[in-house]
Amino acid sequence: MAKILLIEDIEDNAALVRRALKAKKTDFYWAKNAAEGIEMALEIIPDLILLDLGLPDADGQTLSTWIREEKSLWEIPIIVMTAWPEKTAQQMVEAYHLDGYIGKPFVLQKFWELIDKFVEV
Amino acid sequence: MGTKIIPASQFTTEELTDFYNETRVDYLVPMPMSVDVMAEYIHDFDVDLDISPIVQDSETGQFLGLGMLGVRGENTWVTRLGVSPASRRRGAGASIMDSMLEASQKMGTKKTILEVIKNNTPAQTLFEKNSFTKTRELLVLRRAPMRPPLSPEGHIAWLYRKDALKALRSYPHHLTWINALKSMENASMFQGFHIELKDGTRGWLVYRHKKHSITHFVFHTERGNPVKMARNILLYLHLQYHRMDAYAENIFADDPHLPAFFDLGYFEAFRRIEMIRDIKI
Repeated sequence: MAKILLIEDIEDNAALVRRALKAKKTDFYWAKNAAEGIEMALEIIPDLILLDLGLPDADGQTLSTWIREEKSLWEIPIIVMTAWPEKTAQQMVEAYHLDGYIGKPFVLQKFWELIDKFVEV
Repeated sequence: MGTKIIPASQFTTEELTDFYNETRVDYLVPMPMSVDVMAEYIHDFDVDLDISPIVQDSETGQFLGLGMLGVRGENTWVTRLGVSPASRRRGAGASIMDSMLEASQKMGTKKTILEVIKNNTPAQTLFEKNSFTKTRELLVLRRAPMRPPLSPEGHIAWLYRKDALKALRSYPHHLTWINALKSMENASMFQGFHIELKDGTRGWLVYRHKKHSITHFVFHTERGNPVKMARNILLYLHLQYHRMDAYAENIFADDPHLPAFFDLGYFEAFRRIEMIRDIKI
């Protein structure tokens, strides 16, 4: 099964994503902050990372740069989850060499379509 | 609903961090904090916890909202103000504001300053009701780590802490609270560069070097072309820190150095509005 790591500090948001991914039969992992996120990513080597941009210890953009510097992680697709306006979110994706974004609150169908683009479920 | 106000100094930094993060969960720019980041924030920006209010439900003791008040000389700074999503529209925000303005008044404050994210209309309305007026628009810029494609021109010298502080002391304009001299004096890693170009253009940049990023930039052109000066200093800066994220906060919307940021790959993340309540008005 595909391994999906969500890095998100808000428990309710994580529960929503977990529920949304249940239908996709993936292995779901959740890290609550940037430090836990990088540690967990190195341990499980996920197939896809879903990344919240507002994390308490280091923000999502900064964390994405650490992930891209890790030899075992740099090729893993990263999708950011953000409430930023579309234009800003798109700029973040391009500037930080990310693979896509999902606006918050997300539409389930769009969320699944994006997941399907990156992992085989 | 009855409310009570308790000084933030009666809570641990862990509790304050949890309170603050709870108020921000649904913000467009949530900016949650870890305990370490909160402790640094309180220290660097001279937040006085004895006069920073925590609002609770007087019966249940449930947390409703908080505000933090920075104090420097005759000025105070309202920051981190927020109300828990479930407790909004019940007057908690107004109670927090009243408490901070009362504390400011008691101290004989001349100016109370704050920054609000542009388009946060409810917050801006609350501040306007309390006699705050818009003064300036501020940009928050970001740049992802990357090595610049060019090398800088000119003679560049590092400004270590003492010299960087000396340069900042000579800065002729008013800086926002987070970039002000006192914030930099409080900061642990603070430095800069001075540049002189062949055509006589010269100036400096001071900034903070944090664990994961370079932040809090202040540019000043002493002579010549500000864009040329800033572009060459930024080229040098990003050659030194090509693996670091950069975060330039509260750059004035009319800052003459702004085009150099965009030339070097910065983009605008969001804008803030600075508002001031001037007691002389």
